Amino acid sequence: MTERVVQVEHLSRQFGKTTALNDVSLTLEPGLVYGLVGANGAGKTTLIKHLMGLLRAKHGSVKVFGVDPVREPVNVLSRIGYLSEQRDLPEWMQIDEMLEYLSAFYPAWDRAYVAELLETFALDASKKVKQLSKGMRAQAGLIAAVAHHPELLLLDEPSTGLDAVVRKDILNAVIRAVADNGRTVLFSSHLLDEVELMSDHVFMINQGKLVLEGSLEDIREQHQVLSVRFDSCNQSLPKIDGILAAERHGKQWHVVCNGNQAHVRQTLADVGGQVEHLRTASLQEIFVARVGRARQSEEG
Amino acid sequence: MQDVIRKPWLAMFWELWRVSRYDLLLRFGGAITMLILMAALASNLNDVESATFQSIVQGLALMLLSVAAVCSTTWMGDLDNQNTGYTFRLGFTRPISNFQLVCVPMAYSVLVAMVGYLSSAYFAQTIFGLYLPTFSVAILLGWIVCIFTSVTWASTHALEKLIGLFAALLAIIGAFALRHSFRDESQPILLAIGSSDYFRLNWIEYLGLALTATAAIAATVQSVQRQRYGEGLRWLLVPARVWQVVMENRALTTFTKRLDAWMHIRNPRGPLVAQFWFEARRSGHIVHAAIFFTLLAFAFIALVPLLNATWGGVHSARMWVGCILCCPLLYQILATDPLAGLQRRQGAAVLSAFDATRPLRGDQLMAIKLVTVGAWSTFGCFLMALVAALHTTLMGHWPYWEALLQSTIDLLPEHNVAASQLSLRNITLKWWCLGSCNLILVYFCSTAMLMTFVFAISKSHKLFAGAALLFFAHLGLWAWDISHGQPLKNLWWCYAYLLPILALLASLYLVITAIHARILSTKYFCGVVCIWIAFLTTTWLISSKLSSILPEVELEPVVYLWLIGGLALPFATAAAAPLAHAAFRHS
Repeated sequence: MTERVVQVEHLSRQFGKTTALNDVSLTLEPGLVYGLVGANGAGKTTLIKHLMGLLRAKHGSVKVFGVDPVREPVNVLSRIGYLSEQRDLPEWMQIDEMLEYLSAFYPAWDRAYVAELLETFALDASKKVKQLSKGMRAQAGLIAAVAHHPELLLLDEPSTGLDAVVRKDILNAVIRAVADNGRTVLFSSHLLDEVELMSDHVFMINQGKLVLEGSLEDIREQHQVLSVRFDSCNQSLPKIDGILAAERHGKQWHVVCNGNQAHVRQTLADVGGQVEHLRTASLQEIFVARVGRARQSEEG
Repeated sequence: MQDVIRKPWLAMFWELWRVSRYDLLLRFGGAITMLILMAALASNLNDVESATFQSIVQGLALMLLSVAAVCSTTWMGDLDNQNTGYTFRLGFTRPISNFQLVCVPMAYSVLVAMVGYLSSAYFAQTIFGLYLPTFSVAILLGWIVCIFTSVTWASTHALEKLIGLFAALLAIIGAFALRHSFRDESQPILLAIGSSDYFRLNWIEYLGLALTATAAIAATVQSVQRQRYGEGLRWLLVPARVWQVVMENRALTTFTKRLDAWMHIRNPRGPLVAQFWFEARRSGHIVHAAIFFTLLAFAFIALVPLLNATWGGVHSARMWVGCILCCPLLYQILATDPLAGLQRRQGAAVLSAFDATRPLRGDQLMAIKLVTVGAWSTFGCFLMALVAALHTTLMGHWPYWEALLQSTIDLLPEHNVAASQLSLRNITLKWWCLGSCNLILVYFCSTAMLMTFVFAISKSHKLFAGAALLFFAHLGLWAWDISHGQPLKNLWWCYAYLLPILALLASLYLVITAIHARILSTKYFCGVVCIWIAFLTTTWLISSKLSSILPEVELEPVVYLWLIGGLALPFATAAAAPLAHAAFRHS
């Protein structure tokens, strides 16, 4: 049995009256790319900070490579590559200086890979961090995070500041290269098309709760979009188990459902609806349906 | 709150108050504490001629409260050379006029300085009977703050700001000196400023203050207007251009490039070396500070004898010894803050992810920080000592140094026979080494304490503000107690017993917590124990030597309790510093 890279059990965290994480449990296996999606303030960064040991688990437990990252920071941090959302690199340092300094901490530091990435990103290594744009900082931070071939790569909103080309081609290539070598990547993003493109497995988090988890293929298979037509515009949609969200377009409704679709289709037909079209839901649609439903139930 | 803040300027005022209130409390609390201590000292020194003494105390109190008032404002935060121009740049995106952008924070700064001074002055008057000038000094302080704020906000280049601040300081000192000379005072300035009529200004002086303040505000508004759309008011174009030309000079560029290359890290031998390099570079401004303070001390000590014939070798020796002894403390304070590595983000202090994710243990990081402070202090102290040695050798002042050290030893009680036998030349190398070793250990311990304090105060400033309030309240109570025949004597005795016991218990708790949370590793813990034993041994050896030559005195049991508490302190801080760091690293 392969060692679990990350094991989080019943993790909860509160900041004052705000619940940032609410009973989150998850595991990460080696060799996969995990996407962590959620709205702003959903708890993505808080979860990643717990994995890094930058927050102590007050309720629940966090194990990275089988140990507590707070109690064994050296053991854990030397095997992790991390790109923070803030991109807070020391302003006074030159890029080459920073990379040279970081190389001392990681025996597996790959200078050739660093040179290759510097060239790919067209970064001038003699520049000071304070002279870099937001995107360049993200690139420098990414190089620093992957240069030692970490066993676990944690990227907090890696796309922020990167242009479309770098985001689609380079970031994807870097992440894939890490995963193909049997290592694990967890990256958070609110850009769902990007998560769909890069990840093998998705965690959807909303208001601190893990609302959906699974491989991307399974999630897509489980969620379908039905197009239902009624004779009258005034016809309202009954409450049916399995329907996550519904949107009216005149006589037609677009319904996102999961689970047993036969039951949903039968119930819709019973109330006079004609199911006209069926397709697989995109991650964007699933996310909106799940998050919207959670908000509605909270308001209700 | 929403009902009250209906105007943008009120919102700005509220924002300023929210971000500076604890800082203000600490600054004024500190000033009032000093005032209380001065008053307590004054009440115990009855043999000094009372009128003169009262004037000196009033003069010192005035200076102290003025400095606290002037430094309590937002412009102090702008002294950092990294930032130039207007501070509250978030305001550029708000629908507020340039005039309001400048005048609201400036009015807040001025008001804080004036109200702060006035309240402290009334406090001094009510509690201690120190009659300080109020209205005119408050106006002057407000004016000084206005001028300094204008200079810092109107300058959009580091050189402009530096020259502007220096020029403003010179102009203010010059104006005061001119006024003092016109008054034809027979008294020294420290005595003169304590008198109630010294700062009584006439209408021409008030007009001058109003006009200069208005001109400064107008220039600042104009500069902020330009800064708002991405330009600056380059009021020092010529020096700025000269600076640019100098910096672009090929020889200088080559030199700075070589210096940069020399300071570059190359194939570091290990993480600890790399981290030491990082911390040393991060606090590299100590080099500039060390050179500046050494040159300042040298200029002062070398130039004063040229102006004052009574200033001889004795004074020079005293000054050099004072500088050499004080400079490690100065560099310790200057280095601790940047080495803590805390950043202000949205009003809260945080440890950057870059710092927090180094794969090193907290105790290792802390040890490296302490060693870096020690290294910089050693460098600064060595530089000061080197210049002192050169100056002393050139001037032939070494005999004064020996006389100074011997006179310090001679301060020991005269009736003790053993003490009179103790001469500078009789102190063996062993005792010099033990003394130095003890001092170094005390220095490291105090650095760890300072670092702990920086972390702790940044983490829970409310708690510290509360503790400071409690402390100030006790000081007030103590002053009242002294002046009313000490009815609270038993309370102070209770505290005297309770505090060292609490300190011991807290020390024990800190060490156990740090070990339990694995913040202190076995290796580091053993190292700390060894250093602590070395500290105890050297302290015991020195104190036993001193007790053999000093007259025997009966000590109260509470003194022993305080001694034990004091000796446990270095051990506790060795655990407290990594714990305080961990509070930021692991939240």
